Amino acid sequence: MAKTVLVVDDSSTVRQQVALALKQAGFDIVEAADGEEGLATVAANRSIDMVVCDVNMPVLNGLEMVERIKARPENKALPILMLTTEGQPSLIKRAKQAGAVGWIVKPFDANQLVETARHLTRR
Amino acid sequence: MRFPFQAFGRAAQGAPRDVPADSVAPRVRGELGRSRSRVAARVESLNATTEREILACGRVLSRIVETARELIAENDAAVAAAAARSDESATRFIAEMQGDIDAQEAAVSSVLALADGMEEAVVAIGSLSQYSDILSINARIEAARIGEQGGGFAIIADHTRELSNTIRKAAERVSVAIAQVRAGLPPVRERASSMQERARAFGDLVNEQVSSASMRSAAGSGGRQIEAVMRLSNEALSHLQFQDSLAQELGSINRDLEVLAERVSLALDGREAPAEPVHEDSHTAGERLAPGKAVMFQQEEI
Repeated sequence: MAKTVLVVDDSSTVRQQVALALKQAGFDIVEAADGEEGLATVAANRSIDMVVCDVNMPVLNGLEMVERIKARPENKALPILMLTTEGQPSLIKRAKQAGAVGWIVKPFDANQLVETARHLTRR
Repeated sequence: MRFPFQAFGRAAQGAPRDVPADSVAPRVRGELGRSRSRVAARVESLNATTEREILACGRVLSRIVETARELIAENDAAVAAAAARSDESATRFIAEMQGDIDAQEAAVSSVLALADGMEEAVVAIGSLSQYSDILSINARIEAARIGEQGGGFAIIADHTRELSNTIRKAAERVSVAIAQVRAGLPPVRERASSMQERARAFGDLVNEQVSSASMRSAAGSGGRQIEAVMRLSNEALSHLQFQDSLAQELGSINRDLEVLAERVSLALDGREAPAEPVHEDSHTAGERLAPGKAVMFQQEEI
């Protein structure tokens, strides 16, 4: 059965590009345009196997979204990968503390993203 | 049109404030506001256009991948159909061979039936030989009883005996020939049966080889083609990602313009602008993660 990845990014082009790369590799994709929508999607959809998340987003930013998702015990094992243009060590450290599994600085390599997604959804 | 910043520039460089501030400041603010609006509108338009075009490129890319998948699926179907035709050919070949073998079997059976009939004929010929012998003996008896006048019977007796011998020898030769025919037929039957088995095995082998070869061919070529398409589309994806950075840069330009307008306004009012905000990470230790780089927190670096 195909694994489902939630892509949370306010940029429609990034969502499209991530979706295209992962769909080619056989993943199902669910999209959200900001942190609040991402949070609601995770709460409503128990079949999500992984989240790919931007940092700078309106309404609720990516790091806050990760903190709130991980605050719920049922989401402890849900892998969340940050995909952002940011590369500051303080932000990366905060994401790690919040429970994200990794950090990729855009522009992303599609093959690397696919391999990472495969690796993280194998668990 | 006189650029309003010239007046502001002099003021900023510490020039004497001989310009009537009350008349210049509103003009500067108005001009600055209009410029900001125009630049913001252009920035927004540029961002929207870029986003629209990139999304269109993404859709085209997605369609290319789908088309490639469809082409490969069609190719696989054609290969499978060819394999099925090969299977049909092998089946037809085996059926024809089976027909030949059945015909051969029927021929052997009819030869055996013929041999049976000939054996009956040989028995009949054997009876004829015995009957000739009796005739010969009788003729000789008659010849002896009649005496010298019975010489003709003696001649008949001799001829009849010769006829009997000839018939017997002919029957023996036919009998030997029939025995030889009978002896030769079982190996023919065995060979036919063996050929039948081999034909069946050959057919199975051909089917297996054709199927596996076609599957290998379809899987191999299809897999390679889709991998190539995916590799190319992934490369294209990397090139399309500039829009996100561009949008952020345009957003920064907008914010910088806001800051500029605010500072100009403060200067026109003769107030000090606040210090430039400093990004927290310029004070923190450690290097920024470079674009395209990745780290995994719980395991190894990707």
